Amino acid sequence: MAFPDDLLELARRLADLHPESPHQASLRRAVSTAYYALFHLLISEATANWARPELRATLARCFDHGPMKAASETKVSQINAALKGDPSGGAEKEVSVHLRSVAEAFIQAQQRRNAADYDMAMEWTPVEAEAHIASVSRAFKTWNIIRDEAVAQAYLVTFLGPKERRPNEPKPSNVRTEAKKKRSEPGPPPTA
Amino acid sequence: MASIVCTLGNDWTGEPAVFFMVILSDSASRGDGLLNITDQVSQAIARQVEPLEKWGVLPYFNYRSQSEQAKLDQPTLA
Repeated sequence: MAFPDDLLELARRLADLHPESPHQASLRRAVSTAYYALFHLLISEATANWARPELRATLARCFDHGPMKAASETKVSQINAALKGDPSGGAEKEVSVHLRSVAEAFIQAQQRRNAADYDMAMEWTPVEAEAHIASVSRAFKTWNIIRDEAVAQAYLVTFLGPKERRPNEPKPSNVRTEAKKKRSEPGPPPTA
Repeated sequence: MASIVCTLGNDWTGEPAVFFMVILSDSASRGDGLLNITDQVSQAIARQVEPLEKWGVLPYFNYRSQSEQAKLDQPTLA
């Protein structure tokens, strides 16, 4: 089995380590491990495109959690906007919906992993851990369906982050900045 | 589904976020049905409320069963 699959299997076993009296340590490690399973799956898929196998592990070190989350957030926004503008069905739409579900699963899993590893105020329960692992597990299956699609491969490349902007180049807008702008704009004057 | 508790805050990157703690009935939180119900809840909220598009905040979801929540709500004896 590949390393990401091993991690996912380990997450399942950790979550089920003490079925009668679940321990916080095993639930937290299960949540964290499931995230790392998806993290390493996506990185291994990205680096598999590198022609020299002996350099793939080195290349994998270039990927980081923050840029991968930002790329996933952008991808979800782009797909939402595209689907809104084109309600028709078809194979292309199906691929987009699958890709969105992988990107969403990644964002959710990353936040939960952070909470599991660092937020000691939060109490984890077996259902929380199980729901999290099920969502990662489904992301694995969904990724397998779309992994050879051009949009899926393009998504992997965006993990490396946006290009450096030239000093006078305008910042690209995204849904979050547009929403912030909208909130800060003064509304119409009140009518009497 | 039994209830949803919604909290505004920041995610681990410091970006504004809304956290939904969804309390499921015990029957809905068992076995194969869990993924279906969690999907339905998160998609209904994300597509109908549109927290990212309308508020500029990312939605995050966690799920517990009613009995788990009841256990956590019980005061502990020192």
